[in-house]
Amino acid sequence: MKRKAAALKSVLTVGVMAAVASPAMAISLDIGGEPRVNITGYLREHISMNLENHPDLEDPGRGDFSAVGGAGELSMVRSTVLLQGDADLGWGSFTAIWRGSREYMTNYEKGLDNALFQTGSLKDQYNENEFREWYLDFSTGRVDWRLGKQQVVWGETDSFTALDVIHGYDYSWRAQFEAENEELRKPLIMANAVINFPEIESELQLLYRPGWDNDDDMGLTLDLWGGRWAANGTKGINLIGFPLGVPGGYNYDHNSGDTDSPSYGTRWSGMLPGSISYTLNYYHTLNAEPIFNTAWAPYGGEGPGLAGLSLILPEIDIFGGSMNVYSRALDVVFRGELAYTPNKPFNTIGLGLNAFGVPTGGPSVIEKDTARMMFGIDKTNLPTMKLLGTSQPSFLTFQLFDTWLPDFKHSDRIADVQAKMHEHNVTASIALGLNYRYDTIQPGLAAIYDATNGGGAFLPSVNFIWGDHWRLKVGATIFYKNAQQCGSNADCTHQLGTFDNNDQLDARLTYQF
Amino acid sequence: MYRNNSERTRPGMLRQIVAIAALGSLSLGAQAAELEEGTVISAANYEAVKGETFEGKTIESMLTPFLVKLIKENHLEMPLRHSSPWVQAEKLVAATEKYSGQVKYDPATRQVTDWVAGLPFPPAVIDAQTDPKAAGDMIVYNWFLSPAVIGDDVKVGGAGFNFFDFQNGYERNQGARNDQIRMIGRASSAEHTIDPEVVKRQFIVVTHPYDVAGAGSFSIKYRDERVDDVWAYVKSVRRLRRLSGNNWMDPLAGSDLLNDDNYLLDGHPLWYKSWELKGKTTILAMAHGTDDYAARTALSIEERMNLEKTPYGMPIGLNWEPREAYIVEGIMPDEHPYSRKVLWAEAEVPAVFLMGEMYDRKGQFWKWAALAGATCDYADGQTGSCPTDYPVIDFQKGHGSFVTVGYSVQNGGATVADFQPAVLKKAASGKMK
Repeated sequence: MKRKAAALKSVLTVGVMAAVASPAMAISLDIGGEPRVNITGYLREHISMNLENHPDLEDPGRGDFSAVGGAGELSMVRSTVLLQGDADLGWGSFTAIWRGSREYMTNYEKGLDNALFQTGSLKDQYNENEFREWYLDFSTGRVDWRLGKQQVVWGETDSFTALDVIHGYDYSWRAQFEAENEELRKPLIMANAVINFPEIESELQLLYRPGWDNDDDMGLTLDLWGGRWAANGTKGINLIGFPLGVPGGYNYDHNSGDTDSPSYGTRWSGMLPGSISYTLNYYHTLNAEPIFNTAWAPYGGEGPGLAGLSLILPEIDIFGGSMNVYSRALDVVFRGELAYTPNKPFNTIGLGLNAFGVPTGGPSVIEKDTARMMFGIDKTNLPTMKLLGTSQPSFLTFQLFDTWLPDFKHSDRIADVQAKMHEHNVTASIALGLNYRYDTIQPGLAAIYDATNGGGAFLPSVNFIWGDHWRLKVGATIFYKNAQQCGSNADCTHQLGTFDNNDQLDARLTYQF
Repeated sequence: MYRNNSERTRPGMLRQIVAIAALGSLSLGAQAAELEEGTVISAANYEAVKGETFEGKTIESMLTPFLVKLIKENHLEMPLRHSSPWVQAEKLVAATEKYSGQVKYDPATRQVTDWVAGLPFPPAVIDAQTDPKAAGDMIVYNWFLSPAVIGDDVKVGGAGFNFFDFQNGYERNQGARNDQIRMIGRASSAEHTIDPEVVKRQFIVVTHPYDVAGAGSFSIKYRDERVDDVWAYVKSVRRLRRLSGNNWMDPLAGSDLLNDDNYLLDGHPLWYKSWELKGKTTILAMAHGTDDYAARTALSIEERMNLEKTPYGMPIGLNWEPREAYIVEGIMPDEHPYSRKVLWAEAEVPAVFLMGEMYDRKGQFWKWAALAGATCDYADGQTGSCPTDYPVIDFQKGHGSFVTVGYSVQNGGATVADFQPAVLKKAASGKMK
């Protein structure tokens, strides 16, 4: 008994102490000696408020939507805890990140939850409790290994995805508007090996995803259940629930898109003369955007069966490359990226959703070679200290992003959400980041413009740094549409148009340690 | 001294009077007390001891006006320590002896050629230089090419930037790590040169707090005057970004330092309009701020700086000793926030700066910084000198960034493989060894 107690005591000897020379930052634990575990993380409260009413929700034809509400109502009250543990094993290290979130259902959300065509529970969609990442790092010779659930990011693009194809994103609780996209990216279980060639300033990365992830860890998680970020015309309607939604739901075992099938790829990174950094990339994975599969035009010969309709993530291959270079003459950074997907699947507009979310139409999937391209210019030291009184030069970035379908035909009626796609689908973005008072006040402004369809978004924000622990970020997401666009009718919504009338104000308070 | 009034005007007596007066002044000098080691100069006793001597020089003569201001108004206390030699790694000494004789400086182009390793310009060469601008360049090139507290490679970390306000005290901490590998002038290595075009590859990585942990920059600093190539890792989006290298005049990580204030100077000598040797002096400095490197670097921030009485911020517990120093003045380019930077370079080994004063574009005094060093063991078995504390004070804003070192590993055997942009991602998760 005594021996057991002593053994237990030695195993559980925990000394909690602040890190050297820094007050109460991470928590460091001695677990009976080695290894030392460092615990960091945060507690966060995130609130957002609608700035506009939703005209489609006020349409008497929709039923009892008058109770749903809109402008001035809180759209999100989300509490989050994140814990990150890093253990130094000597020969390697182990990291684990756990995040739990709970939402308080606001009146607005209760309205969406109780809507006529809503099934299931919104709360179930937003609440979470998971180990987001857990991985082992170690090196053998010139190879660095990372094994486990992790995030691997490719490409040079901000906000959009070209080569950033390894992971899907969770666009359910903040759409794509959380600036720290590591919070939205869905980590995957992978073997990640980087073979280093420092002699030629290069490295070869090999990735293999065995397919051990949860099904819904693959692909984009979109708000298809009628929540606060559901597309125009579909709020309060559960598109993948009975009785009106996609009866088959997601089919993760399709013969042309099985989440249990491995994904794999490689990236070569090197340096050309003139300090031009470049990469060459290949990846085999599942399409991030879910595709409707119909009984009358089954994809890959496998239809949705009795359900008649399901959502699938077809297999694709992506080939591409990226580059960045600093121009001393102009004192700017140029960056570019190209991701080419042969035979990328798209739904055609013939298959659409009417105002009630009921699928209508004919042939559903078409495959088109697709090139996603980005060109960006960064001025990372904009001289604003005299002009705007900033505490240091500012960061200004400009980006053009194009999804190009070289073999495009209008008659194919390829769907861009619910409106038609074009041969070139161009978006421009610009972002400015400022710093004041020793970088403790950080205003920022980002703007996105849909150059093909008109419309876009403004995202102003201010980040406040208070001491070592507290952070407050306040901001807004303001959408605007092309005046020529057809109102808020679901039939002509494009990417950003899906958020018409969805302007938000938000505040996020974080205590970090 | 006079027998009677009638003898006062006699010439012989006048000579006696002069002789006695001379003897008297000598005896007055001998009466100035030599302070003991351990005496603490502070606001309480400064006026009383400023005329006393330490190692034969008066206290007053070994202080700049701003050091006096720091003592009288900012609670700077100076425990006195007898000076001892600046310890250099023996291979650095050997390389200086072997190669410095062949080094050439061209005053027309301000370029240095035929240097391999060691100090390009030992003290004797600087002392023999009659052109003060050439001498100034020589001292700065010594630091640029063969810095005396770096070694062939160095990892400095464990603590970081501690921001404070004179009146409000401690604000926040930004833990940081600063690793370098020298690519030329590797005095302690069999191969002195890895890449003749590059002076160093360098990381500065923030280690905490949580929201910026892992953010960092990797830079390649070139031997010629082109600006650095710089990459940054942005942890919140998990990817590398390319940055402008033209940031040497910009603030470093939200601190009171500019990028070229790192170790008091971190720019190419020729980015500055001119350097000029203004003279040689003896100054009280923290060349051996501590005689126990391990103990000092284990201290918390509260044990290293005054956070008890306003105005806050002065270093505590560090010894000050008389050091002979070259005073070098740099004139900044017109677009630089400073108009000039005055640096005190250690005269025994003019390849490290003990103290600096920075002036704004109106010529007003703006910032003060001082480097505290200590004798330490290098990882390859040599003994040399390492940094422990580096306070940088902005007097116009009443704010400071006190850089503290938790560990400093020189000549740990780093390789170029450890200094690639992609290694920033490893640093992000604290995996950089």
